[in-house]
Amino acid sequence: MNPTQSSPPDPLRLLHERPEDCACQTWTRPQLVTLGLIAVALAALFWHNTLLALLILNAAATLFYMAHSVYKFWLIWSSLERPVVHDFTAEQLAEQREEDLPSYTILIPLYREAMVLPRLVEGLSKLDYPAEKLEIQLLMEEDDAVTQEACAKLTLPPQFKSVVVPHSLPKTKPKACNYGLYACTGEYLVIFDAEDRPEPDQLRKAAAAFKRLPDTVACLQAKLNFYNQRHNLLTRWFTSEYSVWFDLFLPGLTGSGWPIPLGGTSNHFKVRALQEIGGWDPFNVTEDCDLGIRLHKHGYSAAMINSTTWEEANGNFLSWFRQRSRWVKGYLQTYLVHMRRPLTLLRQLGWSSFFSFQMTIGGAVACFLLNPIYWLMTVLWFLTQSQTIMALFPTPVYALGVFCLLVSNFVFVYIGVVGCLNRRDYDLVKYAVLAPLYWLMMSWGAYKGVAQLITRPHYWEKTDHGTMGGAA
Amino acid sequence: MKRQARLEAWVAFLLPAALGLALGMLAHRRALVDLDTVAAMGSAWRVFHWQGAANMALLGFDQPPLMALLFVPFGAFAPRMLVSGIAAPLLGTLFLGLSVVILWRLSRTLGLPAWLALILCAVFTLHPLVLSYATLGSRGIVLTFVLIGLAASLVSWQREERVRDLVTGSFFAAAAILLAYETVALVIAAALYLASCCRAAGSRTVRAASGCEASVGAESPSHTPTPAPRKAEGLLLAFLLPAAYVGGVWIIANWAIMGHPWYFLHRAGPTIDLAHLPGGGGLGDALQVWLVVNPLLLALLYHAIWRRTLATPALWLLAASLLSAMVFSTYLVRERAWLWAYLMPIAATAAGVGFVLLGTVLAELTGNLASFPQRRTVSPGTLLVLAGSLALGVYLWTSDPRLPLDIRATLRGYPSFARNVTAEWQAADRLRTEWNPALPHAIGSVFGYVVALRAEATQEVTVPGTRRPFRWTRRPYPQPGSYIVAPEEPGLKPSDWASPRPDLSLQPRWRIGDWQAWQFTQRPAAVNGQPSSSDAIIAPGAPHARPRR
Repeated sequence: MNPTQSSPPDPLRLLHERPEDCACQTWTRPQLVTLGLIAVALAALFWHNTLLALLILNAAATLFYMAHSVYKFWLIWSSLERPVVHDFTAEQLAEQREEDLPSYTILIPLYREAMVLPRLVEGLSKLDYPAEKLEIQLLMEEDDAVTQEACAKLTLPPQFKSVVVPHSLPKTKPKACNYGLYACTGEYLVIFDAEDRPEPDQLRKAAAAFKRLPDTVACLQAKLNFYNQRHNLLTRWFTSEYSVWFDLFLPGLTGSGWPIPLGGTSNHFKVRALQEIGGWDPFNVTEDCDLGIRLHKHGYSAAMINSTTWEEANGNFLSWFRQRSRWVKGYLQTYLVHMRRPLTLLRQLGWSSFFSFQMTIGGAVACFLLNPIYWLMTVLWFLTQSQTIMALFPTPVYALGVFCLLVSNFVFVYIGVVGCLNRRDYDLVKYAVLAPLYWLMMSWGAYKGVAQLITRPHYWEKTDHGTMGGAA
Repeated sequence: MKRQARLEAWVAFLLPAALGLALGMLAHRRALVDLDTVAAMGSAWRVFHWQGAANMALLGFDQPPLMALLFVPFGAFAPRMLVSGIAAPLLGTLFLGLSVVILWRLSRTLGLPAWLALILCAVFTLHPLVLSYATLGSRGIVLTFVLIGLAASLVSWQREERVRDLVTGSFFAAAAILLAYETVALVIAAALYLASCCRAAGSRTVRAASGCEASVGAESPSHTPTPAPRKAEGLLLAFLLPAAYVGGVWIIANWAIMGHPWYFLHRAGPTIDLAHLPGGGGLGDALQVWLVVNPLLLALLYHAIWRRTLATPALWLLAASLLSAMVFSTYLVRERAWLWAYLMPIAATAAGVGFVLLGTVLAELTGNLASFPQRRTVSPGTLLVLAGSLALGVYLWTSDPRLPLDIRATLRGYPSFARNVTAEWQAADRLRTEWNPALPHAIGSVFGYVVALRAEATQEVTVPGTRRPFRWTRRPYPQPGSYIVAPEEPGLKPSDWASPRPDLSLQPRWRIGDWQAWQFTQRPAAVNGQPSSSDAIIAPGAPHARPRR
C-alpha cells in the first residue's frame, strides 16, 4: 500500500523537501561567485600573457580529452569483456507463479499524443503480466483536451486508469510522473513513453531481477532502441548511438558500480525507494539522468536487464535538434545541481563514482562544446601551418594531442560500429562510419542547449511522436 | 574460477617474461642488438630530441612504423632507455609474456588440459626463434604476438561469434600491417574467411556483449533473419576498418611529408619491382623457413584441410603468408645471409599462427570441446606428412650451419640474428664526451644510426647511411672541431671525405675497433706567400657536456 495515498499527491515534493537537489534554481550564489572568480582570473591571465593563457587552457582541454577517451574506452571494453546485464530464459520466466508476482504500476505521461494512443493501449494490453497485478496510469495534462477526448473514445481494459494532471507549473513530464507516483498502488513502477513498444516479458524479467538482486538495487534500466532505424540517415545514426549507449556504455557503468544516467523510459523502480528520495525533479528537463545520480547518492544502485523497449527515432532534423538541445541542457542542469556542494557529493559518491560523474555528465557536455573548436584548429593548422597554433602544443601536449586526434577519434567511430554489430544491425555499420558528421550536429545542439540554459532553463522542448509512420 | 583464470594468466605472463628479461639483460650487456630495432629506437628518439620541438614526421618512412611508435613513449618519458638500448629487451619481454598469455588462454578456453597447455606454452617460449626475437626486442616478437592474437581471435570467433573477438582481431590485423606490409595478404585472407563464415540468415546467432543472444521482441526489426550478404558487408567493414584507417593515415602521411603516397613501398627493400613475377626459388625458401621454425606445420595443415576444424582460420592465414612471401619478399633475397631478415614475417607466421594451429588441433584430438564436433582421429596421410616434415626439419636444422637457431646459444644469452655493436657503442660514448654538440658532425657507414643514437645526435649531425665516403654537399657545412666518424676501410684517406671548405683539413683522432674518428681543423694561413709545412691543429675547444633537451 502506498503510505501517501491519504494525502493528495505532491508533484513538487522534491522542491519542498529537498530544494538543494532541485533544479528550480539553475545557479546558486556560490556557483555564480566561483564562476565569476574564474572568469576574472582568466581575463587577468589573458591580459598579462595571452599565449600562456591559451597554452594553459589548451593543455587542460587536451588532458581532459585524454582522460575522457581512456575512461570511455575502458568502460566499453569492460562491457565487451564482462557483460553485466541480467537476463532470464523463457523457462525461468515460465517458472514464475502469477500469485507471487508483485503489483506493478506503469506510468505513461502523455501530452498531445492522441495519434499514438490507440496503438499504445493495444501494445500495453499485450504485456505478459497478470492484468490484476497491473495498474496502468495514462497521465494527461489538464489542458490537453485532444488527448483526453481520444482516450475517452477508447474502451480501456480494467488495468488502465485515465489520470488528469491538474495544471501547474512547471508543465513537464517529471512533474506529471510525480503526480502518478504519489498516487500509485504498485510495489514496482515503470515509465514508458507514448510511442514505446516494450518487449512483452519485460515486466516479468524486471520482477525476477529485483528478486535476485540485493535490496540496494532500486532501479532496473532496460535497453532502448528504435523500430524505425532505417527511416533515413538520421535515424540510422541515432540507432548506432543508442546501441552504444544502452548496450555497451551503461552496462559498463553498472558493472563498475558507478551511477548511471537513466534513460527517459523503461526505468523500473521500487516505489518505496523512489518515494524516499523524492521522486523526479520536476524542473529538470533530463529528470532521468538526475534520478540515476540521486539514487546513487542515497546508497541505491541501478542495474541493467536484457530486455529492449523499441521507440520511435526522430527522423526529422529540427525535431531531433530540439530534443538534443534539451538533453544537453538537462545534463548541464544535473551537473550544476549536484555540484552545488562538490565535497558533499564526493563524500556521498566516493572517489571513483565522483570521477565517473564528472566524466559522464560534465565531460559529455564539455566534449560537445570543445569538439568544434578543436576541429577548426586542426583544419586551420593543416591549411596554414600557423606558428601560433604550434606554440600551443609543447611536446607533452603535442603527444597527447596527436593521440587524441589520430587514435581517440577513430576509436569513437569504431565504437559506433561495434554498437551496430552488437545488435546484428550489419547494414547500419557503414553509416556508423560517418559518425563525425553526426557529432557536428550534436555539438550544434549542445550550443543551443547551453544558450537555453541561460534564457529558458525549465522550458521543455516536446518531442513529436508518431510522425515516422511506425516500424521501418 | 575467474580468479583462478586471472592467476593463471599472470603466471603465464611472468614466467616467460622473467626468462626473456634475464636473457635480454645478458645480451644487452654483451652489446648484442637487432639492428632494425636500433633503427626503430633511433626514430623514436629523434621525434623528441632531434630538433627543438617534437615532430612526429621524424619517425621516418623507411620502415613500417609500428616498432618506432612502440618506442615513442620511451622517447617522451625515458629517452635514456633508448640511448642505452635497454628499451629493446624490455619491449621484447613484454610481448613474449603477452604472446604466452594469449596462447595459454586460448588453450584453456578450448579445453586443453593444463599440463598439455603448459607444454605447448613452454615449447613456444623456449623456441630459439621466439626467444631470440624476444631477447633482442625485435620486430619478430611483436609480429609473432600480433599474429597469435589475430589467429586466436578468429578461432574464438568461429566458435561463438562474439563481437569482442571480431574487434580484437580487427585491431591485431591493423597492427600487423603496420609491422610488416606483407601481412596485408593475411588480413585479406582473414577477411575472406569471415565472409565465408556468413551463412544463410538465422543459422547462427551472434553473441552480443550481454553474453547471450541479442534480445528480440515480437515487433523488433532484428527478429528478421539477416541475409548473408548484409551480414558479410557489416562484418567485413567492421573487421577491415582499423586496417584501412591505419593504412590510409600512413599513406597520407607519406604523401604529405615525403611527397609520394607510396614512398614507403619504394623504401621497403633495396629494390622492389612490383611487376616482377617471383621465381620458384622464393617458395622453396619460404617452405624451408616453415620447416625449420615449425616442423609440424605441414602436417597440421594437412590435418586441417581434410577435416572441418576450428583450425580453419589458421589455415587461411598460413596460406596467405605463403602467397605473400612469393609476391613480396622472396625475390628480394639476394644473399643467403639476408634470408631470415626478409622472410621474418614468414618465420613469425610459422611460429605464431603455427602454435595456435597446434593448440587448436590438440584440443580437438583430446576431445574436450563441448560445442564442436569431436575429431579424435588422425588420418594416415597426416601421419605420413608429419613423419616426412619432421625428418626434413631435423635434416635442415642439423645440416645447414648458417641456420641461426641454436637454442643452447640462445639460452646462454647469445640470441640469433644479433649483431655485436660493442665498437659502435664505445665510439659513441667517446664521441659524446668529446664533440661540441653545437657544431655539425657526420657519422658514416650503413650502421651510422647505431652510433648516432648512442651519441644522442641531434640535427647538427649528418648520418648519410652509406658505406662509402660522401661529399659534404649540403648544409650544415663542417666547422673547425667538427667530427667525422666512420668505419675505416682499406685505402680510405681522410681527404676522401670531401668538404666544401678548402681552409679545413681532416686529422685522425682515435680508433675504436673498426671505427675511426677524424676531426676538421683550420689550416694555418700561408707565411710570405708560402704554404705552411705542417697543418696547425687548432683545438676545437673543451669538450662540451650534451645539453639536456
